[in-house]
Amino acid sequence: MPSIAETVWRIVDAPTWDQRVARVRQIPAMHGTSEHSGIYAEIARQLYVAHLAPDYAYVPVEDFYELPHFSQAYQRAVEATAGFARVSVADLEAAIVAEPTVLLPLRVITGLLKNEFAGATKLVGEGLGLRPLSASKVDSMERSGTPAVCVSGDSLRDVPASASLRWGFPAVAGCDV
Amino acid sequence: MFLHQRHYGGAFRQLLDATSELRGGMIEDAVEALFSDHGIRYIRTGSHNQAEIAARFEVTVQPAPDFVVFDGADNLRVLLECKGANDGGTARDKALRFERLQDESVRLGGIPLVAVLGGLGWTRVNDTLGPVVRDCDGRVFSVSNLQEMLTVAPFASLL
Repeated sequence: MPSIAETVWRIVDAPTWDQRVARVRQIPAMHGTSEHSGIYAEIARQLYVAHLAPDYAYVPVEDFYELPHFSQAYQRAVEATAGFARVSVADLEAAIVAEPTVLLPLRVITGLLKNEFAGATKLVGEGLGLRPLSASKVDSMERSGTPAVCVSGDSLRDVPASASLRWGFPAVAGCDV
Repeated sequence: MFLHQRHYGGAFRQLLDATSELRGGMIEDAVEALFSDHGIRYIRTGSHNQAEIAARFEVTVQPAPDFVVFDGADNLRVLLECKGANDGGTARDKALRFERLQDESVRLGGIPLVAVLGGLGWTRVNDTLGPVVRDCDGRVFSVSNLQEMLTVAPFASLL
């Protein structure tokens, strides 16, 4: 029966990947279960840790999050609502149907994240007999202008009211609601 | 002000969160490029093709691994999962996924399971990387040595 150190050395010293795999597979046959975790950890430390690298240095640049995309959607919302003066259910519905990307500035005015907005349409839609939006649908409308087949201005108009439910949450020490 | 935002999250954190999927996709993108460059038959799985993976290869674990590799006779040859984690707690949670995939590998008759990992969370070896090495029989790679994966069975026979 080899020692733990001998087993680790045999695996670290394997000349090919296939032999390394074969030797790793022999561990359960050569050692009691109480030794397994220590052996795998030591192999991991000696053979694999050095290849790991952080990914937090990567900050992807995506047009969707850059100012031009938002500015364009915002300008369309301004035009469709006469500078946010025409915000009736019918006005908002027409604006979104004509140009789904205007949902982006309208949503951020409500202060809701995509998932939150989608959840809010469910709350509102149930009462109105409307199908809710999914978060991915919200995303595709805002990102690429995918047609809004089931959006109603009713939902959008009422979302701020639904969002205001947050103000009804009981106060918790140390938290803002 | 910007440093204060970093301290509690703010715009910097929001941007990182908003693009986390893209950062997570970097490992998968590297694997896909490797397979494409070497003519290896594969399917990159997603929510759109889970049913196809189950029907075609009898892989029923949900969700299916990030990649399934098959040969010219349409036989399943490899299950491959990519996972990035920059903190040990996240890596520990994600390591459990490989246990499930190992069970699926055994159920399917011993289809090799391969891990491609990224991020410093995996440097915690006792309860994160060690178990993944166990579940994958040592077939664990990162982007920096991904090319070596092609030397491991059964990839060499699929080139």
